[in-house]
Amino acid sequence: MTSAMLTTTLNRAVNKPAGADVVIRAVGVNYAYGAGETRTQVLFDNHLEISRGEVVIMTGPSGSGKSTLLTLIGALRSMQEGYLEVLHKNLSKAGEGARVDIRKEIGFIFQQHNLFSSLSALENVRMATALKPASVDEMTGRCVDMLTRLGLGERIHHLPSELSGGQKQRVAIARALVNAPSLILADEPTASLDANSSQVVLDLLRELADGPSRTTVLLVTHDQRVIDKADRIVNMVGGKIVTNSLTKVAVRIVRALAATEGLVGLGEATLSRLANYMTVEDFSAGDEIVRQGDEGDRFYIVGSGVADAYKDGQFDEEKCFGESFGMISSYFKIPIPETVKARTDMEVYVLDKDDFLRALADDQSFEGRIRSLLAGAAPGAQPAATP
Amino acid sequence: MRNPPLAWRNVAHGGRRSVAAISGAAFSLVMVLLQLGFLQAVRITATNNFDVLDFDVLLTSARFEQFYAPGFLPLERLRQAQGVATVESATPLYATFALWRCPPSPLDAPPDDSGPRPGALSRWLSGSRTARPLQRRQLYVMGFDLDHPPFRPPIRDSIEANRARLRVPNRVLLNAESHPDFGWQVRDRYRDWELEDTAVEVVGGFDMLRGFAADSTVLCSDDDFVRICGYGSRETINLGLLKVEPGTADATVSALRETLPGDVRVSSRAEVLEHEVDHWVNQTSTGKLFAVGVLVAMNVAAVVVYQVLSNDVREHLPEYATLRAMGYSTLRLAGILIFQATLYMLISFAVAVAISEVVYRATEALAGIPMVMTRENLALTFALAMAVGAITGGLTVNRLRSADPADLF
Repeated sequence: MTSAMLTTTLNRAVNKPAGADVVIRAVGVNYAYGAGETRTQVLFDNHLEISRGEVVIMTGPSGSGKSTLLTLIGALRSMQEGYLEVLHKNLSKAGEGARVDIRKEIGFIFQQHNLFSSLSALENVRMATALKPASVDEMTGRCVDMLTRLGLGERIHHLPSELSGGQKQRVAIARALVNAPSLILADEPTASLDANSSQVVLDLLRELADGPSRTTVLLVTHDQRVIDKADRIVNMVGGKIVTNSLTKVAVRIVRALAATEGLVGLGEATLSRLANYMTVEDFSAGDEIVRQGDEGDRFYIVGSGVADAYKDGQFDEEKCFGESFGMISSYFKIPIPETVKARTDMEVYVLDKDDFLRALADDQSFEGRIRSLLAGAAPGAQPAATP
Repeated sequence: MRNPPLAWRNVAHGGRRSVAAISGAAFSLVMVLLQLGFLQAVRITATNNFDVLDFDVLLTSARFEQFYAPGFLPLERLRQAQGVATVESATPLYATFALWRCPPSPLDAPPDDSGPRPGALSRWLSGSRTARPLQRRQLYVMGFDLDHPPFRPPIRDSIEANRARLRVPNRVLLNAESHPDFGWQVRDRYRDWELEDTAVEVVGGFDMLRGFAADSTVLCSDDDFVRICGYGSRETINLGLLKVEPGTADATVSALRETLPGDVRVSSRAEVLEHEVDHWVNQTSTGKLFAVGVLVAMNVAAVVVYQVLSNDVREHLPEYATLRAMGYSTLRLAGILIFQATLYMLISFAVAVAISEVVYRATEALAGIPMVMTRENLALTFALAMAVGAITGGLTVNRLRSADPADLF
């Protein structure tokens, strides 16, 4: 299988293919632990492309397979099934030696600092530079620079036992970054850091991604502060990548959802989950988006621009940022209650029937929210007996 | 430094674990050095008996085993040997074990003969001060022609200083290096010496290393020896000591082997020394005993260091797993572990040498055997220590298999 033949499966508008320089390409990746009767498959047909210089957040509940996928991308496990290319090296058939070699190009940040208690902060970082030997002065200089950037310039000769938890984690981060790796894989890198330290680390990661090295960063994190620094969010559920969203679009959708009257009070996580189900559609001024009386299968929320709503041919109201319209007729057993036309060029966020049902499966309270949303537009809307 | 000194820091910061490894390995290496020291003492005492004798060629019985079991040969063989042109002199030496009456201790108030004997530990700790009743013990007796004593200085000097006194019957010289039981320390206050069934008088002493086979030695005239030890006549001797013209030893040996009958063995000095060492080290169980001791001690050292190193690796598995994740190969990590094990052994070796030096001196003082730490034995112990370090370090690499970097996520 050549890379030219490889494409990822993208099923939502917010999904966007990676740029030209793909540094992580996974196609149909499966993985299972054990064998025979004890065999447990944890990854199912995963597709993923990540470009050079992207900061990608990987999310998902415990046991969703994100750690396993991360270990495969980090060449810490050998592949079983599918195709995986990391930093332009095919890991599908890579042996132990090849995997050890590629790991030298990757910076690993683990939840635990895993520092040698007998080595000073500087020496722990020097353990990394020893893998890419240069002159002693040059290696020491790089380590001191990195530790200083992470706010540890005064503590480079301290043993881990003389450092706080956050300082130890920063030493571990310095160790991961000191060789200017092409790819950084991080597992909750800011979990044990205070707000200031987290900001320093996140700024540094963003800077590495945007800088001349265009380092790719793949993080497993639940830290909402990271979202602002990320380009893409990959969400895994049950061993499969279910969403692969561009963060900036996702953020716009979440903001629109947050402004939606019936959804006020929902948490950021719930809105993010809902946003993952939505697609983006653009309309030009004058376009009729929905027609009153038709059987509808979509809900719409205005992201930008203004639309006019008509009932029975009469202007009823204008639809602005965060306002909703549309109908899933088969579920609520009513047709579309109003005609909506774009007054200006618009960006509209769309939830179709299938994704609505999925969102419903995730959160039963969602149905009530939608009903209240529709209450004004279509009083008495009732769900079907068997959606 | 190009690479961080992880192995050294692990040793230096290992605390009780490092102390356990170093003390365990050092103890084992002390055992090794002691075993080798004993073996060296066997070599020294084996050759020392001949080193004090003045000869170029030795005639012994064909059944000669070693110095303390020389067998018999007729004095006639010495006369025949003198017929060989290059032989300058031929001196007989009479030698056998005999019972010696050891003085009681303390002399003025000895314990009751029927009373309990002191235990081995109290005897060992008290040395010459141990209370003991009068007893008879075996020592080695050597008789010779007082006018031609076949000894080298300083024993020859001691004999010549006491020659006149030794001409009086039943007078002997006692080895000043004898075990304290034999009474050298109380020679001026004790008079009731007996050799076999004959009352004798100690008229002086000489210095000769004690060996493993005899705790004491006495010298006397050949007449006294023959009479006291029941030889019957001077015609049966134990060793024939020949001096030959300089540079003719090998030729004389060849000539004597052709001349003398088959009941006598002719050996050069070098052959005798080689034979004696071979006998004690290889023909008896001594060499094997000490070799097994060395082997066991090194195994103990290996087990101790392996255990400590294994625990060290086990407790730092996430750290080693992180190194593996970073791109450290198993071979590279093995290098760190082997170096750490070697460091343990290196420090243990230094400690062991210092302790052994003290133990050697104590053993020498207490047992009266020569304990010499030779360069060869030091080099052998060092090589064994390094080998154990390398092997245990290598074996510990298996532990690293548990350090799976995939478990870190």
